[in-house]
Amino acid sequence: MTALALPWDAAFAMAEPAPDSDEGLMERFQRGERAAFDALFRRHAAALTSYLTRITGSAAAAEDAVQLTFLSVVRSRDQFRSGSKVKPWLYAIASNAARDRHRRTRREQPTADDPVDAGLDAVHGDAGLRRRLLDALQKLPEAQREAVVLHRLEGWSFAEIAEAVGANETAVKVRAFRGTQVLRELLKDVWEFES
Amino acid sequence: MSAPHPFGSSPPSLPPDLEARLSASLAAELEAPKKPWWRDAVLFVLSSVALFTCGCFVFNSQLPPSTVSSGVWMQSLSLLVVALIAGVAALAPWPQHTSRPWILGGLVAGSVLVTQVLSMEFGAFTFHLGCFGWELVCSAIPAALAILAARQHAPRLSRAMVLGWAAGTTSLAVMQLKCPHRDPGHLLLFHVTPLVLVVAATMLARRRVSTVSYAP
Repeated sequence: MTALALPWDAAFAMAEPAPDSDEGLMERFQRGERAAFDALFRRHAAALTSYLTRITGSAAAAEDAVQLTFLSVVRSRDQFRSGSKVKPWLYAIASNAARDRHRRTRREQPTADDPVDAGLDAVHGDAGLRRRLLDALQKLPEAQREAVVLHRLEGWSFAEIAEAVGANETAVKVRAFRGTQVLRELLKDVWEFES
Repeated sequence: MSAPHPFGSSPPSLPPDLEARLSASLAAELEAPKKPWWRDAVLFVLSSVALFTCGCFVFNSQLPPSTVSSGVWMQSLSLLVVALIAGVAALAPWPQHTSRPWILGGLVAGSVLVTQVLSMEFGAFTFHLGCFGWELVCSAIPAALAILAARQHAPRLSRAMVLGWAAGTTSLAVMQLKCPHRDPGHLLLFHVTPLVLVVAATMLARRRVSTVSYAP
């Protein structure tokens, strides 16, 4: 017998996340599907490492923080709310981990051998320029650094950043604007910002 | 104008050695038995209720019958207030309430101070250092459990503050049962000051202890 398709079925079906979307994978992981976590890890680990390298200014610190991030995902999987987006949650965890790690350990002064972009392939520009930019980013207050990195370098919208950092959109815009102004001043001889 | 992008624009990839190291540590975590994140919060609330109930049994006989805290109704009401404050504090780190710990903290702190002011009887200042020490001793277990509960979430001073207030409030309520003095100077110096110290100690300890999860 064919099931009767009711008009609201479509609406409910749309509310269900696609199984391969981040949210779908998270739901499957919450139900105990280990493969779903592996898929989430493979999808986000590299980008998170890149983000954390920019936030912490050190590849070693970024590796620690990315490990803490995924450990937190495993431990707090039941706290993830159905209907929320995974990516801002993941980056919020990463930012918290980086902030805490930074507070607990003295900032590691990167040496010439510190592979700041370890694993980031096809990087443009020379290593000296990248080092200068990372150093300049470290001079920004944490909140401004997060806003600048997520907006300018990761390409997030202000609304997405606001969701991830738990602030309102206007505050995030102000942070990004002020951070960009400081960066522009610090790097005026090497990096031409778009206005 | 398009700016040169010194950080690179192509999708990053994870170094194979890092992936292997992360996979090993995550595999161990995935195999470990799952602990409910709210367990420590519930323990904290239960410890507060248990401490106050024990205080009622131990100190009840020591109070003169005329004292405001000696009546059964007043003690039942106090127990309810203690449970409510501990429950509210335990809710502060709840995922749905991440942006409201300051509001919750204000409510808890306000209610404590209002009860103190209402119970004041103006008169001569009573110096009794024992109240100070007892209150700190009574706060030890709830404060320790409060820190354990706070470890389950990303470190936030506001959360630690709310939990510290709740832990201190329980011992404050117990001391209300033990101490017959109600003059403002005594209450502020020997009852409210230890409460503030417990809050500060909880916030400081939270910064020191490790974090179980950095989830917001």
